[in-house]
Amino acid sequence: MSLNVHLYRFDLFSLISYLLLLMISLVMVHSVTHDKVFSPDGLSYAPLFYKHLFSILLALVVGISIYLLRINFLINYSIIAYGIVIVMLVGLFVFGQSIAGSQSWYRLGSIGLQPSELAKLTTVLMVAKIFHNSHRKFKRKNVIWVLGVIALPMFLILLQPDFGTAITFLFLSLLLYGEGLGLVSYLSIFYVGILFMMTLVFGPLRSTLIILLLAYLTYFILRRYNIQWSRTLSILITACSLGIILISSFAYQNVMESHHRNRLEVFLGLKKDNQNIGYHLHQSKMAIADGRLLGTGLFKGPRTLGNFIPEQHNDYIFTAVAEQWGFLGSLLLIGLYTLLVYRVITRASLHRSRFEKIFSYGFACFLLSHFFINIGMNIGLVPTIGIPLPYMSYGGSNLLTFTLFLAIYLSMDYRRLSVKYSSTPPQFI
Amino acid sequence: MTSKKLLIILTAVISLVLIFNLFNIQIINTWGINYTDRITIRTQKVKPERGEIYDRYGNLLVTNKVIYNLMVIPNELEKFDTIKFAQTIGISTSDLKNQIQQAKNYSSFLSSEIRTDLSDAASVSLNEKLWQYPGFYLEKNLVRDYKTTAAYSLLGYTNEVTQDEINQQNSPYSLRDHIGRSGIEKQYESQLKGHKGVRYFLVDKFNREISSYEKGEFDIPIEKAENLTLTIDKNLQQYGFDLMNDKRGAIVAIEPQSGEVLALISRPGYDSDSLQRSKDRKYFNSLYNDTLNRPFYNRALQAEYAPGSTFKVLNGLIGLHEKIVTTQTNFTCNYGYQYAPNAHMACRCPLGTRNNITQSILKSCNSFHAKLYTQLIDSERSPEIAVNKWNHHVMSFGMGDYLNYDLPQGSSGFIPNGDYYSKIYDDFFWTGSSIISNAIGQGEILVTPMQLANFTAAVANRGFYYKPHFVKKIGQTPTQFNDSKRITTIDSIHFGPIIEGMHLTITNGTARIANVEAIDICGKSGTVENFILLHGKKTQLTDHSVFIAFAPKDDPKVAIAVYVENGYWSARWAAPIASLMIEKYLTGQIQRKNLENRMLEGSLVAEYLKPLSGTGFLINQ
Repeated sequence: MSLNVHLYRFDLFSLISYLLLLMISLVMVHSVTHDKVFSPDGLSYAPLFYKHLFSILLALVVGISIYLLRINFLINYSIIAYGIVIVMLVGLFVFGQSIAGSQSWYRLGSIGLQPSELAKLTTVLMVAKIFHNSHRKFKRKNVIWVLGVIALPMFLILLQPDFGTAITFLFLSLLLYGEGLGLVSYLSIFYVGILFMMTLVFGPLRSTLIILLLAYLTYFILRRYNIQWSRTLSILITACSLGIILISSFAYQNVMESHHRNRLEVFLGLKKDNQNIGYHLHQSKMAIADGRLLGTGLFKGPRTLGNFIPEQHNDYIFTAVAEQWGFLGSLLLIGLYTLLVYRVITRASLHRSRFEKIFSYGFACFLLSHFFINIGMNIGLVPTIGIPLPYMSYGGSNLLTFTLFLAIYLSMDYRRLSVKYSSTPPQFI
Repeated sequence: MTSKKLLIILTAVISLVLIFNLFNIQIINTWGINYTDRITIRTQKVKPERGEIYDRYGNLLVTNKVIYNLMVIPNELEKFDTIKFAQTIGISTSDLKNQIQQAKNYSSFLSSEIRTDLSDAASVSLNEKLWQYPGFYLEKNLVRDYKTTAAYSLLGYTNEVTQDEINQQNSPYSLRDHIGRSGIEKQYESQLKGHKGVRYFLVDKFNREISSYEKGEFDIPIEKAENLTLTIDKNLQQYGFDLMNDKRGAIVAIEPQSGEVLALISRPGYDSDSLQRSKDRKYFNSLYNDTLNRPFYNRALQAEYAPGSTFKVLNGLIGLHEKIVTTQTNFTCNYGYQYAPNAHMACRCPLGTRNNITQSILKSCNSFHAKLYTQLIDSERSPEIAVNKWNHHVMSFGMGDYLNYDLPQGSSGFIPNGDYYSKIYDDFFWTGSSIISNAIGQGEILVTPMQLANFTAAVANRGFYYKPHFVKKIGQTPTQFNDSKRITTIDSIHFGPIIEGMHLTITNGTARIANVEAIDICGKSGTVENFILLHGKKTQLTDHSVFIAFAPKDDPKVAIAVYVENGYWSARWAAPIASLMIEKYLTGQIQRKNLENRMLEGSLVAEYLKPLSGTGFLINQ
């Protein structure tokens, strides 16, 4: 085949977006760390840039090797990969190193590995494998399998405890849409979320009263329209709601860690901030606000230079972009991510094989959730739960995971046309 | 709707929401004021000094002092004359090289300690020379300054927090903070440490402070540490510590009217000051590995001993209350008591002596109490019921109980109940005479010196005690012990004859050596047989010397228990020590200088070495 055909089949656009993001990331990590010898915590900043460069190179090498693998290999070994990562997650409770309160890292010298990041990849592979096995007959049993496969790593990660990473797994349930879970299920999940928030804001007692009042009204409305089973239905829903309130108030007090509670409460305005939680967000928002339209210019952001934002090279790298490149820079970044996600979704829908399709959708789900939660938490839209920005944040495990996602996606996309059962002519966008 | 549509809509909505919000923050800028071109913000952590500790009269026991640590950052080191530098800081060259290598292994960029705990003078002279040695610097740290070395058994000690403690969620500690490890320092950690504050302020480009940031909205106020006022009498504590020189054992003195602990001595012990030096594990290890003296073992609170004859006081009280004996009852003693065939309990009373309850206390008559006890146990339908009743009375004096005082150490001791004996004597028909040793405090009963002192206080009060406690005031607020009064099950009228007996013990009885002119002391002696397992064989050691006392008789100001391990009979060590403590506390000076000197200089080290000699040895010499 000539080069043209290769380029025609290859998703060059995604690759270029990815490389652009990596370059921006390098520049930004450098801008955050270049003039600081020591952070207030006594940690050395100087080698961070080189470590970041190293992890980028490593990710590229591993990504290219994975790209060369056959898809069948991935199908066959996804269960083993999933199993290994689950074992690693369990092993963390024994051998893991605790950083900032959660035991999420394996450490070998100065290299750390976060298995919860790899779990994202293997979980998506596993889910895709279940879909692949079930072929056209996707049954209720498979839905339960998929939910179980998602819930297991999620549960282990919750125990670390790493609330934020666990939350992102919820986005994978989007994969089941149209494959067994209807709109009602999503509305129910949404309703549970609202009830949880309500319990936090109003307290269990008042929430119960509100629910009872609503149930009473609903019952009258339903009866007025002569809907069948109106009484049973409203009693059932009310009972469920009360149960959820009970469980969420219990879970909130006993399962969630106190720093998550604090962040949520400060976020919801329930609690006066006395532990430095609001300061972090305040600084982050100030830095973003300082960017204005054009930004302060690279290496000139006063808040970036002044080291005001803790963990800026990590979860708060977006503030460096927003401050130094302004609104236009933020727009560029959001545009890159949006187009990348859009590209992945649309090309995923072209796949005939379910494994490839579900995998690519899963990739899109994770990319979307990370990008939304990270930037959202930088601007105070989402509570601070410590999610990195893919391809941008410092941190090898996350970068490696998302590079692998992209490499596999690209590989599948390239081979889509050579898959033997593909009979229809390819569509291009 | 397909998955594709759903995901695309979701992506579009999310991007638009983010862009809208960013537009709002960055372009419309409804958010905050722009400081950026002129000023920057600094943060400052403000650490409160650890609270001071005073004794009951306001004498300082513990405060804080500054020490300097010599630190190194390996990455900033340049070539230097190691020999000269090692001399300057007073360690050997190889030690210095080792330390630097260790620091490198730990981290090249973080600072590590080379020498800790430099005095003020040493640090000043070192500081002048340090400019020649880049990479080294002096760091100031606050540590505890113990004004007395006698009070470790209740004060405890502090040392640096471990990495694990810093990593804990919402941990208030940061590197090089000190945390209480034992005693008052641990129990009252939250009051003593205070709360760190954080200040945010604006500085200009010359680093001059302009103003606080956002009017201090984000500041976290510092909460000062509380000073503690203890119930301890510093002088009495020191005196008791000196009296117990070269002896193993404990002294506990309590003010009966309030339950305030006046002195708590456990020896051998440790030096709180040496223990707080973080990297000085040598000292900690030497203490920890000293399995003979067991310095970390708080004998006053944790050691469980048999109470010996001091328990006869309680035995008599229970006998009177349960109407087993009256003040008129006399029992005969013939150098002891043949309580079963082939079983004889020896006593010092000559043939044909007839003792009533008061005399039984002052002569410490074994026969009387053994008879009383067997009659008590055999008075019910079954011995279990009787033992349970007896157990109930004993427990009401705080024995067999942790007492819930405000120190983190302690033991419950052991007071057996009916079930316990039913289990031991499985299918054996047991009666009062089977467990007759309990009558003279030698059986299964185990008490701590703290419980013994508390029991003495209850006797002094004629039937009630206050929960013992160590802290009088936290800051300026007196501590509240609302629920602290405990009333015993013995009617107060029964205490008269027993206390009379305890008074006569001092004036005419077994502990005449403890008599102090002008003070009416009441006391009871105890000499406790004890055994250890030596080379797999049960071996008897020299008796423990025990004494309990309170004074003055009619208006008790102090109740005291003294336990000297392997001190032989009571009047040899424990009784004189108790009487000296009482004299010191009530009159402030000692008249009996000879006795005092004998106690201060007396040593039992030879006695403690006997079981280690490896050869046979004689006891009770």
